[in-house]
Amino acid sequence: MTDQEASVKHVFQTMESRVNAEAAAGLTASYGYRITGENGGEWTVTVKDGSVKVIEGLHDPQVVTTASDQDFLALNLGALDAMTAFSAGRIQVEGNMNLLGPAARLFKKYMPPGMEGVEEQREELIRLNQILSIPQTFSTGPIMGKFLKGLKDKRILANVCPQCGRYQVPPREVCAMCRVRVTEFREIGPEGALTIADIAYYASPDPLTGETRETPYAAAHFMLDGCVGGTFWHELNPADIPRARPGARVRPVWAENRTGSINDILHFEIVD
Amino acid sequence: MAEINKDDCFVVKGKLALPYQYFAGRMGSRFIIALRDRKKITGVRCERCDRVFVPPRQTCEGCQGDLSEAWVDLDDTGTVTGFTVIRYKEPHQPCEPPYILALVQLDGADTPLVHIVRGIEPEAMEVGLRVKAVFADQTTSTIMDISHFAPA
Repeated sequence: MTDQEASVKHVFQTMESRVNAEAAAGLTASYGYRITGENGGEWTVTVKDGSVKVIEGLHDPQVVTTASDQDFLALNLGALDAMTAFSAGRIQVEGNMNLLGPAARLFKKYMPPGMEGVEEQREELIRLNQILSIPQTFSTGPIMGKFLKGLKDKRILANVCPQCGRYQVPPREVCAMCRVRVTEFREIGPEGALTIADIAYYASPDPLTGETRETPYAAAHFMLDGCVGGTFWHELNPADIPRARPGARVRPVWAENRTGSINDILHFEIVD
Repeated sequence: MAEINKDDCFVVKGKLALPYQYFAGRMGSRFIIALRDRKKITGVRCERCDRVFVPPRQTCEGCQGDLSEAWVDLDDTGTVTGFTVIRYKEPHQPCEPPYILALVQLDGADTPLVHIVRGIEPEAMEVGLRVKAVFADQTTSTIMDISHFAPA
């Protein structure tokens, strides 16, 4: 190593030589830094037309970042994560916060004295991306089987508890409330009303294909006409998401080729 | 109770597909890279406990010492310390059953490595068999860069 140690001062001294020309091009902004502690100080970094000037003191910057000298150095050495520090209140920001995004890419990594010019050696790490596929068979049993067969004929079947009169759709062998065997089936819907829609924006993988789902999509509950008690869960046509309101009238969109699966209904759509 | 209509019972075929990323870790990566680039099986040696671990690990199980830089190269030969014969078939197997999965303790190592042994009938397989690593022609950056072990 050299006579000099890594320091807050050195970070600012080397800033102009670490500019990423690409990131600086087209950016005009001024950043203030208030670094507290024994080795702190105040600096202003001005970016204009691809050039960067660093001067001591705060000179009317658009955004001011405040941190301790130790934290600021740790951030620049990669020992502290900026988001973590910000969330923990160890970094305070005043002014136009939106300018901080482009600032993150503005400079090449800070290297302590004696380390400049040394290419950062990235160790190769092994990662494997795979799709685990598991073939499965689902035995429907007589109750779910009757329901799925009904879908093939464009019929939605619920069963009715002999004790409480509640409808269950999809049907179950036993009433979930009364715990008595349920045998009577009734056709309901297929039209109904939307009760609630969960709109998902997070692109999770479809467990049946491993493919990432299109977003947004809506998983919704529908109270089908003639049904008493339970809602039916399915997807709502993504095009209808903007006008999804409780009470909206819906109807199922049936698949062309129906095989006796829940996907025999593509989704429900809102009826105008 | 109403009669059950057997015609209503049928089987739905499905497939579960789970994307995932396996990260070998720093120690695992170096182990795989040595297999891939140098065709060398590597391990780590704890000086204090006088033990050699294959596959490598960052921490010694005896003294909790840091072994992340204590790399050693090992021979391709070793001894079978245990084995099992896989006779059933399922989709994720590395090869057609029946095949032998064995614990192979390499010469100079104190822990065994799990791998496939080929070139011997399951009936003739026994603990103590001397084996030698056969490297794969093509790398997959996995433990399968060792194709299998064969009787030495």
